[in-house]
Amino acid sequence: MEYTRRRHTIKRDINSLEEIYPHDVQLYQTPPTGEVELSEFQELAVERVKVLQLVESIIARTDLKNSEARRTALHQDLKKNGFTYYAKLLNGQGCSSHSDIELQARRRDHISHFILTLAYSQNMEFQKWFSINEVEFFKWRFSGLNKEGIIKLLILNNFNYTPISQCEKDELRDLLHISTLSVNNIDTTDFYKLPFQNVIDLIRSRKVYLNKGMAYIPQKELVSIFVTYFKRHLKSQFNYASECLENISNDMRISSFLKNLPNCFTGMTRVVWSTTSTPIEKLDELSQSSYPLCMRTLHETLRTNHHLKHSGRLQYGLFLKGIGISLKNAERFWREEFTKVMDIDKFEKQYSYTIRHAYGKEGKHTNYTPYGCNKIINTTVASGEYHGCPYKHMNIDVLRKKLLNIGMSIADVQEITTLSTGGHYLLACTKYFEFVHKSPPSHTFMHPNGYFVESQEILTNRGNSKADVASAENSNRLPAIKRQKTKSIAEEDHDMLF
Amino acid sequence: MSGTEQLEDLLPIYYTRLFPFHDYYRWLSYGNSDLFERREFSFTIADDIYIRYKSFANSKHLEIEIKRLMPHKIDIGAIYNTAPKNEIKGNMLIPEQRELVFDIDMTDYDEVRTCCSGADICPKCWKYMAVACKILDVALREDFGFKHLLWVFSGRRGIHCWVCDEDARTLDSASRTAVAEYLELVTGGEYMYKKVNIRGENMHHSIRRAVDIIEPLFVPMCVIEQNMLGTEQGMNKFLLILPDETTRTEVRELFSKLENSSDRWEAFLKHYRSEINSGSKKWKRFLVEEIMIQYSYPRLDLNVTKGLNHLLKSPFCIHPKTGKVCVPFNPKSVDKFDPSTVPRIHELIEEINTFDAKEKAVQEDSNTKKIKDYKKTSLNKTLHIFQEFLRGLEDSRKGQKILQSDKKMEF
Repeated sequence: MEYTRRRHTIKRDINSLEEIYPHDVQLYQTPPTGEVELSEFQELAVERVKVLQLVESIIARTDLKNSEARRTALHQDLKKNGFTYYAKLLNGQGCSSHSDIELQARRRDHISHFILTLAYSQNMEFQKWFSINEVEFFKWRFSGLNKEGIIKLLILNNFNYTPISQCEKDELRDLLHISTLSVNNIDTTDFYKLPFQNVIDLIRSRKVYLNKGMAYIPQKELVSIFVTYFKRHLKSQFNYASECLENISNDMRISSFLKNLPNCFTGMTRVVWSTTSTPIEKLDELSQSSYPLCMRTLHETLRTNHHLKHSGRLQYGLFLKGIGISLKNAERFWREEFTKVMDIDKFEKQYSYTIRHAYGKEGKHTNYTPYGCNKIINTTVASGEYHGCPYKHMNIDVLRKKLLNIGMSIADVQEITTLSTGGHYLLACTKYFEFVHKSPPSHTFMHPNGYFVESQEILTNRGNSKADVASAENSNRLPAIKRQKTKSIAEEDHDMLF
Repeated sequence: MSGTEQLEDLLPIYYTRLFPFHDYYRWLSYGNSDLFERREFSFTIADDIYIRYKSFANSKHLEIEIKRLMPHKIDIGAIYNTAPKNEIKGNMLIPEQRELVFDIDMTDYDEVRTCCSGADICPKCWKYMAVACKILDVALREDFGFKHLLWVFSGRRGIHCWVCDEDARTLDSASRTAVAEYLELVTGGEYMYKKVNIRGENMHHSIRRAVDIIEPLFVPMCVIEQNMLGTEQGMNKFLLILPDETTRTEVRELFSKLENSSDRWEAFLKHYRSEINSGSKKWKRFLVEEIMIQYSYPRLDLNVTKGLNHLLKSPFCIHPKTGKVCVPFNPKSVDKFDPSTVPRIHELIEEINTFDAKEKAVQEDSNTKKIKDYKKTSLNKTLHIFQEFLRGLEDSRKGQKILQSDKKMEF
């Protein structure tokens, strides 16, 4: 991979473009070579960031039930915002046509992907954001391919898989039937046999038959091969890209652009760091006024049990870090609570390390960021544990009781439990916010720390000017948060240098 | 075991005369000394001082260092890109290989076991471990094709499994997570009552196989021995798993007419089956299987399995609280394994002394070959299990070498 050679010739010749880009979907195996003007370089990068932001907002929409619906919605959004090239790409069938606009779209896709890989390689949080949205975008594009398009993509990427023979299929018929989720007719579908490491999405959800390390996947699940590969590929690219980013730091025009790009467009899943520090004495009060329910639950459990298991400590501890609890105060907070059930010696030996670790003071010195809603929703919760998202991980009766205890009306509780059983966890959380603050938030939250900051802004504004704030507040709130985000992230990066 | 003072007296003897350094190195070098050199060990020494990122050039160095520091506990970590001891703070250390490991701890069963809780175990709860071992062993072998599984009693209340096939050692973290989640069926925290949900029309072959293992044991083990439905508390817990208030009321009423756990279970099954047969929509398919899984399927500590760099207590180290040796056991005879008879450090040392005394008396004059110390003790049996596992590893390496050289001959 040669990132630094980017600014050499890219032939505009259509014929050769078709050779370079024979397919609507690509796995970005080779970096682009050729020359790009700085203005185009920047334009392509900004365009892709905006497209990924649209992807992000589609992922957040719980009213879209399947990937087909999400694809359609994204297509509309892309067209509405004038991203014609990407709209074209999203609807591409693979290799059925190679018009000028399609070839240009593929070229933009290719170059911009690599620019963003550089820009987002800077830290884990950026990498994660980029990967989640790239992978999802990839899946939706893949789902639009026709059969020829899929087969061509397999060949282009040297995935030499052939369907198992009729004979082997007959032998395994019963096992394939009971273990393949969502395929009714074994006879009309082709099965491919490949190492389980290549289709980990299907393995973790027990969707296919698995024997001696080989997974038997039906035609319709082929996307999993690509997704598994793509995720690994992105991960290894980041390692290389972050080195490259350091190497091009002598060219200020490019390096400062790349380094600032992720900060200029903050996604909504991004952590929002509080700029003010929070004293731990206020946590009981804050847990009622400004915590989302997931953190409130953890806080209350901690106060009652004087203990939380590892995952719970991480989820809550990092949230506290995000709302401005200093390491020193965090240590005091956990110590005071835990030592109610254990002696201080045990606490220091078994627990204080992980607290300092979360603040980047131990081990690899990674500066961990607070968990976003996606991570919290998709976490596994075992017995004895209280973390996770209450709208997903709490039994409905427990949730109902909890909300009633807080003082919510039966009608409100009903609304939230309906949302949560329907899988609309984020909307349920928004509804909870609305109840606590007596006014809805400006947008759906995707991060507990975003919830906290917005809550604090409302409460502070109310405190400052009690009269007619409501209308002014609604229009001012969003930009204020954005400014804060960028600033605090820049500060964090600054900190990490030392 | 009378506390840590005694441990400190006994450990020097244990490490000098009993710890199987030779076989230990045979295992962790996998026929390649470079792999051993880049392996992280961590020691917990006296006063609970914890030392991470130790690594050793060879078996001799490890032995010298262990005898010098007398660790109360030894943990094994990953094989890194470079020898961990050379890297300060582990900043540039990248884990490259690591056995695929599983950790099953009795405390995770507190919700379903009634005989003990916390750190305590008894023969009744060991049955959960036996079930876990059987289910995981067959799944790892049949579904994933792994062959070299080392099962170890953790010394107090759990078991570990080290999957040592090369294919397993080189898995990345995402694949490990996938294996762990494939095997995990019981999920949900304190706020979730029903922790098992089988999706789809059919039951995946791996779940079917697990249920087949559980089914014959379920009534004697869970219903009768653990008295699952014998108490008010037990019944309430059970009722919460049922789909809704109506079904709960139905079953509560059934239960109230009966006296004991097994009658109640029978009555529940009868009721459920007749409801299903009459086409009732209130009840879900596979509910009985889901209940059996919730009460007895292995509960894994997933975080141990997912990462490459998680530390896990080494086989043959002494559990600092119980004084028991972390011994390998044979999964085929896990039912016969009794954790209460696992040798304790002071017993082993007594055994050596007794043996030596006898020997001395019998053959004062003869010049018989020196007998290895472990052979004089009850550790002997478990070392055989370990050595058999090592032979398996070595044979498959030989097989691979022959295969490779055959390939070369062709060209």
